[in-house]
Amino acid sequence: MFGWLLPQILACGAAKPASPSVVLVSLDTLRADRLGAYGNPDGLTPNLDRFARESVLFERAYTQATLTTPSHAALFTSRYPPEVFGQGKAAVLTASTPTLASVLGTYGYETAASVGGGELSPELGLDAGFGVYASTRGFDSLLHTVPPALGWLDQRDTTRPFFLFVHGYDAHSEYLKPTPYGYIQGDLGASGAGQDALRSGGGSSRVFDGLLLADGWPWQQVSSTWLRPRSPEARAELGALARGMQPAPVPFGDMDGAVLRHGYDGAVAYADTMFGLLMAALEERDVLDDSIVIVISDHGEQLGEDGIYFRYSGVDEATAHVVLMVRDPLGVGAGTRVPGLVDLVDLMPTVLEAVGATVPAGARGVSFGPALRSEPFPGRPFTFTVGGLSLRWASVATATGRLTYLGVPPGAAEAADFAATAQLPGPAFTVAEHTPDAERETLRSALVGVLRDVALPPGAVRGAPGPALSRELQQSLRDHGYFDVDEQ
Amino acid sequence: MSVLWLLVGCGGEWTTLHAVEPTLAKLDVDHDGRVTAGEYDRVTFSGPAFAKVDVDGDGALSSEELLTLVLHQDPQRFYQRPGQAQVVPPALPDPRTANVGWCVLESMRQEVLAANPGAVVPTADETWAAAQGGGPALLAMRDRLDAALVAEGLPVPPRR
Ligand SMILES: [Zn+2]
Repeated sequence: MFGWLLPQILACGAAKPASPSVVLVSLDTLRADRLGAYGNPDGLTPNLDRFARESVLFERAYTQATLTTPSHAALFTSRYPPEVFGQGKAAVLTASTPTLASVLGTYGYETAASVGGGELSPELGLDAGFGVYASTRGFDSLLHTVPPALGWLDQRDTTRPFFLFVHGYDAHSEYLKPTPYGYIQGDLGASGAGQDALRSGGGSSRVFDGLLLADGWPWQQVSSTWLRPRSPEARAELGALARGMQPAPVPFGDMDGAVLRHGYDGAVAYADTMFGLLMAALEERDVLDDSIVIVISDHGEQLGEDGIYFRYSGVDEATAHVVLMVRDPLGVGAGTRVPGLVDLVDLMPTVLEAVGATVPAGARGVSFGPALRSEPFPGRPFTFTVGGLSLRWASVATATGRLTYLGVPPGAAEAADFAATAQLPGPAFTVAEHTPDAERETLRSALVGVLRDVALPPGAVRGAPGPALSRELQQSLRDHGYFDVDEQ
Repeated sequence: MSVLWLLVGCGGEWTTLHAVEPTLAKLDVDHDGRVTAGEYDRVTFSGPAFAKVDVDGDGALSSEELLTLVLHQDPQRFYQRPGQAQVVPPALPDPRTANVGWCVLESMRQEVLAANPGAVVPTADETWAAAQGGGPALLAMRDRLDAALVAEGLPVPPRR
């Protein structure tokens, strides 16, 4: 891209593909604010911080969904999640859906993905367009996904450029990581509700508003719609329900929350080391000399904001602000920080522009190539994100404010009408505290505009129903806090 | 590394040891340049005892020893959760040969399983052990996995 477009006087003499290869790394559940490069003083991410110094870093990049599958569906297609996410958990991608991989494939790229299973399992549809899509069995680390990726690299046709996608759940719950990472960020203590949450199968997914909901608690009865308004009243109602149930929930205090945050930070440190090992492997194979390497996270994590842990209960800075760094093989732009707003849907047009490919019609993204070339780059006027397990929430944010609509799922025909007429403020909306009053109506009209764009006619259903998920995958998703569609 | 990298001042290769060295520095809480048993024990709750990790027995954890430890602990199964079967961590390999060729062996093994989940293939522990053994053991494992790939009609990766 940028550097690649410079005269090739620096390139060595061996025969090389005419276009740059692209390595895209997705670090699941990594909050941008945990990286030193994004301002964290705790020293958790030396490898990612080094990568940032070699890259163009986007300070304000946002995901389009705070869940893994729809986030990657948007990333791969440059379409908003309601356009590429079906009624179930699957992405509605078919062989005819243009994806980053499929378009690059038509331009002569070899394409492969190595992912950590779970919400990126091939049954969920995100394999569309990849020549090879290697998936582990569930919620696995880069430790498991890097070897197949390297195996593929070692066998590829070196006369052709390639697109390689590598993904790992290293910062995803469960947070507790092997020695020394588990305890590296602080003494987690020997016992207590924080430890129980850290060590339980559901990670932090059962912590809510001062309560730890133990194994066996009928959590499914509390669908994500309970949390929808996130109002004090709704939370009090859920709290009353929880306290009346057996087994009784355990009080979860500030100290317990700190244990959970330290555990998460240890997982972030682990992810950082795994990322460093991936970079070393790419260096060893000379991939870094002629490939663009892009690092993203697909969403963040709630770590006590609004009394809630685990990401599926909201759209806010903690969950929507993501990592985005782009490393040019020749070092052009290294160390640049870009303050303008960027969405993950902008990545596909950027990469396609850089390799001279045509961006498919209907793409929602806009290339951030100018920022990579150090040209003027104002960024987007606003970003758009959906959230909640059933994607019922839609949120827009500008540089100074955020408005989240908590009603009809975006994509339903009536969503825009409801959002246009509901009271501001009112139970249908939450407004981030820092939002200036004067900006609320601006945010609302931006949101209504997007909802109109993505709406289907009444009664229409997006895409064909996906294949039935295997029993194993359903159980794995449930174990990690994701409900089946019927339970939402 | 291109000339431009040197110009922008970002020199230095990415290596596996560089990836773990900052972690090692973080464990060295008294900043004496050595990660001792006491410092290791602070952050251990499930891992092998210091004496096992300190393979060369010099009383301090080296980058190579930390790298070996990191690569050898599966984050999905490194301690016993309530109600879970006992996790028996495999013996630590010799750090001098850690990870040699393992990535290739493991990716071959996973490819066979992806094509045929019922295929009889070595376990990850066995590919790991073969990689650590190096020499004839590694080559024999390569032969086994080559045959398994061929049996599934899959291409065999070139030998480097
Ligand atoms: Zn995710």
